Amino acid sequence: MEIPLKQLKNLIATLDAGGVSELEYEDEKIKLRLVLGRAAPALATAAVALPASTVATSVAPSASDVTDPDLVVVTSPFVGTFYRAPSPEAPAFVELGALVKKGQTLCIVEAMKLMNEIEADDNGTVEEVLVENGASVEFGQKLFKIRRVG
Amino acid sequence: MSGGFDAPRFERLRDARGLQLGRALRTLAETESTNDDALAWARAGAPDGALVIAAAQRRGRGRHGNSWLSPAGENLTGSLVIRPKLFAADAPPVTLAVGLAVRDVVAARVTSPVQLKWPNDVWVLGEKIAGILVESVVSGREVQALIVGVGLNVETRDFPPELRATSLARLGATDRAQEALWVDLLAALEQRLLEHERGGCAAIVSQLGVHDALYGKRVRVDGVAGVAAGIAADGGLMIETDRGRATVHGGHVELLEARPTSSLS
Repeated sequence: MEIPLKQLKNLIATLDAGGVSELEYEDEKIKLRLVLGRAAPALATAAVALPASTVATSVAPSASDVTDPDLVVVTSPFVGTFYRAPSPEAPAFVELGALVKKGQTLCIVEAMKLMNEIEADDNGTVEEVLVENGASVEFGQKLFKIRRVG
Repeated sequence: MSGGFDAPRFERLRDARGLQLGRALRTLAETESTNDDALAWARAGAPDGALVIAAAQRRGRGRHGNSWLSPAGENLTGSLVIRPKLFAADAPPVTLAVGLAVRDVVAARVTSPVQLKWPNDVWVLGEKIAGILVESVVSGREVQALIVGVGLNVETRDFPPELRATSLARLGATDRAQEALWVDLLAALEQRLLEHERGGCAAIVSQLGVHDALYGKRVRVDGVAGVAAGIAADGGLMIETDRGRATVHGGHVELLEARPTSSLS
C-alpha cells in the first residue's frame, strides 16, 4: 500500500500549519510515523516506500504525554544504538524510579562511533525506560519518561 | 612535555601550511583521557579547532569503554574540538570523514594498502593502526561541539598478539616526527571536513568503498550477522543476512572470519 505523494504532501502541510510536530497512524494496510521539522520529508518518504511490516515501530504516546506537563519524554537525537551504561560491565547511568538532576547523564546513543551522552533537561524521577540496553533506535524515538520535580 | 612533541616546531609547521585547526593548543605530559580534557575545554568555550595533545594517556577510551594502550611519547594521542554547523541527526557521518583523514596520513607513509574497518578504525594488512572516538555536545537539535579523539600507533613495535595492532614503525614508515604527523592530520581533517560540509554524507561515502576492509567478509553487529555489503548512502554498514539486507548504524562490529572469537572494535 502506498500513499500518493500529493496526499502525503497535503497531510504534512496540514500538520505543519496546525503546529503538530509528530503523528503516528496505523491500520491494517499501513503504519505511518511523521516527525515534522527539518528531517520530516525524508522520514515520511522512507516510511511510505517500505512495506508496512518493516517500518520501524516506536512506542505509541500515552495520553499522559499530551496532558501531563510534568512528564518529559527524552528522545533519540539520531539513528543509532542505545546504551544505558558507559561500558558492558558498568552499572546503568540511571535506574527506573531514580531521582535525576538536571544535566545528569541518562544514557548514550551511539552511531558510527559518535557517542552522544543524553542528559536530563530538568530535575526529576525516571518514570519509564522505553528501550532495552543495546537496542537500535530511530531518530526521535522515545527513550525515557522523566517526571519533573521541584 | 615529555615524549616526541615539540610545540614551537609544530606551530611553525602549522602556520607555514596556513591551517585553521590546531591554532589553540594545549599540550600535556600525561592525562587520563584527552577526550575528557577537550570536552571540558569545549564546555568552557574552546574555539573551533582547539587541540589537546598528550604524550601519555592513562585511560584512553575506545568505543564503549574499550581501553587504548599508549606508552609515553610513543604514539599520537590527542583530541580536537570542532564546531560544525550541524543538526545532531546529521552528525554521525562526520566520524567517517575523520576516518578518511587519518587514513590519508597513514597511506602517505606506508606502502601497504590502508583500509577502513567501518566505521573508522584504520587497518593495514588486517591489523589496527589507528582508532577514533568522537563525542558530541548537543543543545536542542544542534551540535555545539564535536570532540574528535584520535589514537595513532607510531613507535610501538611490540603489541600483544590478541590486539592485532600495528604501527608506523612496524610498517617501515620513516617520516614519523610527531609535529609533522599532527600537521598532516589537521590538514587532512580540514580537507575531509570541508568535503563533508559541501557534499554531505554522499561525498564521504563515495570515497569509502575502495577502502572498505569489511566488504565481502562475514560480520556480526550486535544481533545482525551476515556478509558485509558496503557502506549505505547514510553512512551505515550494509549487511546481507539470511533474511535480506540490513543496515546498521551503531553497535559492536565483530569479524567472524579468521578469528571467530576475537572482537575487533
